[in-house]
Amino acid sequence: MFANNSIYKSMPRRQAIRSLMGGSMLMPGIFSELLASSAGSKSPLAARTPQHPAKAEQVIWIYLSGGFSHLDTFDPKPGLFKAANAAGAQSKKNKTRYMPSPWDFQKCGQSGIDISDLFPHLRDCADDLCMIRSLHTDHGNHQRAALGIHTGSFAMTRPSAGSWVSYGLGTLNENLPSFVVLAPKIPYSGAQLWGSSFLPGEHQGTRVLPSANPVPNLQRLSASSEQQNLELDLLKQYNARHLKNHPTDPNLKARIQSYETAFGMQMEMPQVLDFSKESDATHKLYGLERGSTKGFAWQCLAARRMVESGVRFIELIDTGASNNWDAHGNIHSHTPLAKNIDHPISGLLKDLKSRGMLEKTLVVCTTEFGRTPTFDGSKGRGHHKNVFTSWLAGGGSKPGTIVGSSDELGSQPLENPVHVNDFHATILHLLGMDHERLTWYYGGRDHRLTDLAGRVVPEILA
Amino acid sequence: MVNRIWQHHFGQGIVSTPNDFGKYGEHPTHPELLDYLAKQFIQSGWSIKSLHRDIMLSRVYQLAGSDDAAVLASDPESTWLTHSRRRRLSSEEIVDSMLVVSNTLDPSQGQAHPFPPRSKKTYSQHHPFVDAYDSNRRAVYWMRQRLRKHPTLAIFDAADTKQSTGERALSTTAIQSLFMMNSPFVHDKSSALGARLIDEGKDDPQRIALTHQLLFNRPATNLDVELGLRYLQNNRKSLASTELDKNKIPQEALASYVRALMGSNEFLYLE
Repeated sequence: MFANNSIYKSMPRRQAIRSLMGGSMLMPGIFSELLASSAGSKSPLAARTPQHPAKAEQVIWIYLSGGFSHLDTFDPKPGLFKAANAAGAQSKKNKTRYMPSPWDFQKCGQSGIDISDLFPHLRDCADDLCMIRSLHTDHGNHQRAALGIHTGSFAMTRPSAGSWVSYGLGTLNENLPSFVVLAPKIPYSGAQLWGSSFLPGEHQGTRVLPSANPVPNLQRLSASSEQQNLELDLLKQYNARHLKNHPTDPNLKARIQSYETAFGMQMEMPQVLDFSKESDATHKLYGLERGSTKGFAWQCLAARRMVESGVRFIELIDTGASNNWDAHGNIHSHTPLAKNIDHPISGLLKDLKSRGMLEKTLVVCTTEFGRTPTFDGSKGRGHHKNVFTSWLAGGGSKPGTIVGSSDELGSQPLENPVHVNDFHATILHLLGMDHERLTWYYGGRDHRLTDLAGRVVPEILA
Repeated sequence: MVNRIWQHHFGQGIVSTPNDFGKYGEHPTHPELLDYLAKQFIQSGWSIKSLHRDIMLSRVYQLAGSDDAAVLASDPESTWLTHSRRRRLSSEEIVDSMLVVSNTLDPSQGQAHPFPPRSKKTYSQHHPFVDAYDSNRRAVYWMRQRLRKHPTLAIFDAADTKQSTGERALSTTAIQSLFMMNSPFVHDKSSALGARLIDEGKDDPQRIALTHQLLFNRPATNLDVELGLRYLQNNRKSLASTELDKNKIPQEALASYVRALMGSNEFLYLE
C-alpha cells in the first residue's frame, strides 16, 4: 500500500497506522486491532498498542559519545599481551603494534560477565546485563557512525530510534514530550541524532537541560501567571468560536488541545526535574549531591523520574563532541569519563530494579564504534568500526548473558555478528514492534529504522 | 514546477506526490489542468510571475472554504477543488506575518551573515558551529546550517535543508504552543504590535478594530469589540499589581491581547 502522507495532515492516526503496517493487508487482524485501539483519540501521540505483546514499554538509551573502547571495558583480550610481546613486535610502527589493556578485568556476579576496573560499581549489576560483544558498524567517522547508531543510516538524515519508537507507540503522558534527550553538551552530528527527519515533528526528541528553562520557551514570559491565564482564556474563546464555524476539522481541535498540553508541560516538567522529595538514600545510590544538577548522576535520576512520569524514550548523552571517549592521545582519558558514569548508571539500574521498573524499562548503553587493538599515537587507540561492545538491561533482554564474541585480538566479530541494524531490529522487537512493518512512506518508498536490513537476534531475548 | 507552485497555493499539488511522478506516485487529479498550465507556463517564457497571476485570478483560487456537510461528505479533502482547503501557515509564513503586522520587518537587502573572520573561526568537528544570526528580515533570508534544522523554524516543521522535501509533514505540538505563549520572539513582536496600535489607534475600540484587520483580515464584530474591551480593562488591572512600570501598562496590555490572538487558529490557518 502506498499511503499518501498528506493524509496525515487531517487523519493522523489512520495514516500512522497505515504506515505502521507497511504491507498492511497481509495482516488484517492486527490492522483492525490497531485501528480499534486508536478509536476515540485524536492525538498522534496517544499511546498505541504495539504490534505484538511487548516486554519493554519504555526505553532509557545511554549514548557514550566518541566511541568507548570495548577492549578496556567489557571485552577482555589476553591475546593482546601475546601479540604485543611477539617477536619483532616492539620494532613495529605504533599503528600496527598491539596494545594490551592497562586495566584488569574481573568475572562478576553469578553470570561471570567480565567488567574492567573502569566500572567497579557496575560490577554489582553484572547479572542484569546482556552484553553484546559482536556489534559492528559501517563507518569509522564520528558523525556518520553516530548517525548510524541513532538512525540506522550512515549517509542520509533519517529519523532517530527514539522518533521511530514515539511514532510506533505514542506516549504515556502527553503533558511531557514522548522523546526526551538529556544532553548537557552537543554531540557529533548535533540535533540530527534526535531529529524526527521525515516523521512528523511531534516525534522529534526534545532536549531538556537542567535550568530554569529546561525546554525552550517552557518558562512563562508574561508578567504574571494571572496575565498568562487571561491570555489563554481569551485564546480559548477565540478558538472555540472559530471551531464552531468549522466543526469538522480535526487539526483545529488538535491545536486547541496542544495549548492545554503546553500549559501542562509548563507545570509538570519543573516538577519532574525537582528532586527535593527524593530521599537521601536515593541521592546516595546515584552518587548525587543534593541540589546539584551537574554530572551524569543528575541525568540518570532525571531519567528514572521521567520513566515514572510516562516519557516513552529517554536518551542520556554523557559528553559532547569534545573531551569524550575519543581516546586517540591517551587511553587513560577513559578513567575520568568512566568515573563520571559508573556510579550513576549502577545506581539507576539498582533503583529501577528495586522499584520493579526494570522489567518494563529497557536500558541501552551504546556508543558509535569501538577502538583499535593497536596503538594510535604512543598511548591511545584509534576508531574501530569492525567490532565493538554495547549492553542492554531489563525490558525483556536476557539478563547475565554475553551475546556474540570478537576474535582473539578484539578486531573482528567471531561468533554471532550483530550489525547496528540488527541491534535496532531487536530493540524494536522488545518494544513489541516488527522492524519490517514500522514504516513511513517518504520519497517514493517505505522507510524503516533498519532500512533494508536487520534481523532480530534471538540470543538477546529473555 | 507548475505542480509545485500549485501546491504552494492550494496546500496540495495536482499530483499529490510532487517528488514522484513515476510509477509509485499518485495520479494527477486534474490532468488536463496540469497540461494546460504547463503549456501556458512554457508559452509565457517560463514566467513564474504570470503563472502566479493565472492561478490567483482563477475562480478556483478565489473559492471560499466550506463547512457544508454535503460538500464535505463528497469531497472532504477538497481533492476535486470544490472548496478552499484550509491550511496551516508554514513556519516561514508565521514568522513573516508576525514581522509584518508588528511593523518590524526589515525590508532592506540582505547582507552577508555575520560570520567571524576566518582567522577567528574556532569550530571543528569537536566544536560544532551553533550560531543562528536571526534578523528581522523575512525568514527565507535567515541563515540555514546543514548540521541542524533552524531552531525557530523547525518548531513549525521547516524542512531539513539536506534533503529534498516535496511536501512537509505538518505537526501540531505542545512545543509550538509553548513558542506562541512564551518565546522571546513572539513577545518582542507582540510588544512592537502593541506600540503600533497605540500609535495608530486613538482609543481601545479603534485599536481592537485595527487588530482584527491586521491579524485576521476582517472587521471586528460587536462581540470581538466587547471581548476586547473587557480583556484590556482586566488586563490593565492585573498588570497594575505587578512590578511593571506604570507608563508601560497600556502597551503591555495590548501586547498581551494581540499575543493571545496570534496564537489562535484564525491567525495560524489560512483558508
